[in-house]
Amino acid sequence: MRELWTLTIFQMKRRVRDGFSIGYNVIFPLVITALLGLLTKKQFTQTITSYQYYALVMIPFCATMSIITAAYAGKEDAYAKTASRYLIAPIHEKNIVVAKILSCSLIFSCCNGVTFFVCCALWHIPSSENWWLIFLLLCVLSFVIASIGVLIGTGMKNFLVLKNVINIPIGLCAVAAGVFYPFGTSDRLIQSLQNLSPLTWINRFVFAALYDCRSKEIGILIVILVMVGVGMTALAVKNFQKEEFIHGDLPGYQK
Amino acid sequence: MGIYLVIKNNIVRATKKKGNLILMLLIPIVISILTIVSLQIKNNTVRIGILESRTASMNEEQIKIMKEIFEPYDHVEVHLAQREYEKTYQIMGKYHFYIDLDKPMQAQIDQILREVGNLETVGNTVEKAIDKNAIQETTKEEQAMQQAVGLLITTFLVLATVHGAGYINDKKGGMVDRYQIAGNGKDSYYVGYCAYTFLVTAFQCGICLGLMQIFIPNFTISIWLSLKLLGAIALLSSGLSMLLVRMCKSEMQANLLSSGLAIVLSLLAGTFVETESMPQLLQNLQVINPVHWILQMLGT
Repeated sequence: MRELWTLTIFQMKRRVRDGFSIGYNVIFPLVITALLGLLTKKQFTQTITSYQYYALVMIPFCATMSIITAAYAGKEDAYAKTASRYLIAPIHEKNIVVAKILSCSLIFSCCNGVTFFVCCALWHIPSSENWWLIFLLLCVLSFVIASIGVLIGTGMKNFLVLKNVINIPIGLCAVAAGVFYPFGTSDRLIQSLQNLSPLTWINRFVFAALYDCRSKEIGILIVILVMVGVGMTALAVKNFQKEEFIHGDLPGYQK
Repeated sequence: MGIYLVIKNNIVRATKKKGNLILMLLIPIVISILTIVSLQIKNNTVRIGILESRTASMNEEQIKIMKEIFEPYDHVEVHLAQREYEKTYQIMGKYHFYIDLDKPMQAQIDQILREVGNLETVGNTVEKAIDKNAIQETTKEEQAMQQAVGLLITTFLVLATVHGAGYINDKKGGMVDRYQIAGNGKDSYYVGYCAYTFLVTAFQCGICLGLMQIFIPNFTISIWLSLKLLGAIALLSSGLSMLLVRMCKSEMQANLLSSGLAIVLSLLAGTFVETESMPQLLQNLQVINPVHWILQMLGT
């Protein structure tokens, strides 16, 4: 336990120091929300303002984009040429992986939580007892994203290829979920495709919690995400590859 | 000569692995398909949701009457809506209007007909509405073309940085130093990398523009304009990406910054939001936005 705790604290300091966790989970969503909110002010009804809409959809989207930061967190020891020290040290490999996941989860959760509450204050998102439920949803989402990102960074051979292409499915999910503009349709096929995006369900239930006072669905979603996160963590631990963890050489390196 | 060697070396590196080569060809195809699909999906259908009465049992008949009222309007659809998600579905754009069967219906129907037909009084201004819609249709086609090109620019601003970020790895790995030791100019490796990024981006962009012209109806532009667009998009993408690569210490920094910059530039250029609905200050600021200049090329 002590090893895990020490590693987690160390990794958390790294996440804070590199600045991207904070930049991409706090500053970027606030800036984009302000910008999109200003640009689309006239296009929203009285039910919700443009600022409120984009605040609520941007935070989960930016949380999902942190998958790249988590993947790099998995790979950073290799690039810094310090990975072999971890493997030589008397610590279990499982603790290396879990520490990375925990540290990323905690930092991303804090950042997303701060962003959410700042947005609530700035743009007067309807006050509700479901705010805390939404914060919990963001924490659990951060956990899932961290576990998938670390799985990519520590357990996959094609890290370099994956990190370049992973933006594409995330972007698709974001478009389907209405992150850039409310994307409504009556076509059943397109609705089915939209429902394939996890962000669609997250956005839908967040709006339902705040504007239709329905909290049951968010509770179910939180449970599902916890299960997914635990599953991904187990997969990351099982798929941990020492060769990939150490392999921090440049592209084109021939083994 | 050094610049040529850098370009050649990078093209060989990029195409050496079959996976990379397939990705290089696949990515523009996927982007084109997505752009085409997103444009086809975006239509002007007005969706009306009918909220069932909590008390009455004649819902089905009333719903049938509603559908008959709106049948003459081609761009209006009427569906049964879930009362529990009334505001959620309105926020997410699934329904534009609701008819609540528990409230007086005529007033609701009249209100919706006024919004749908954009008429001040129902009836004798129908012809004007049709003319207005015809004019609006042409403007909508131009807007759709601009949005398609805007989406392309956003994507290639990010992709170009993915290609160009290899320069950071080469610099860290000592390849740039070895290149200089071999007697080549200090910045010619960087210039060569810029040229390589430009060429790869232009190649992928060319595939996209070609596919879009084939598969998007009404997306027809002359060869000369296509070449100008291609050159402009590739130049902007590679230029901005290599500038970021020069400033950043790591690949991750460059990629994340380019994503952010691409979204901001595209938003301000009017890709996702019509220029006319932006605040005046932002409309004035478009003058300094290179993405806006490229989109203006389509209008000329």
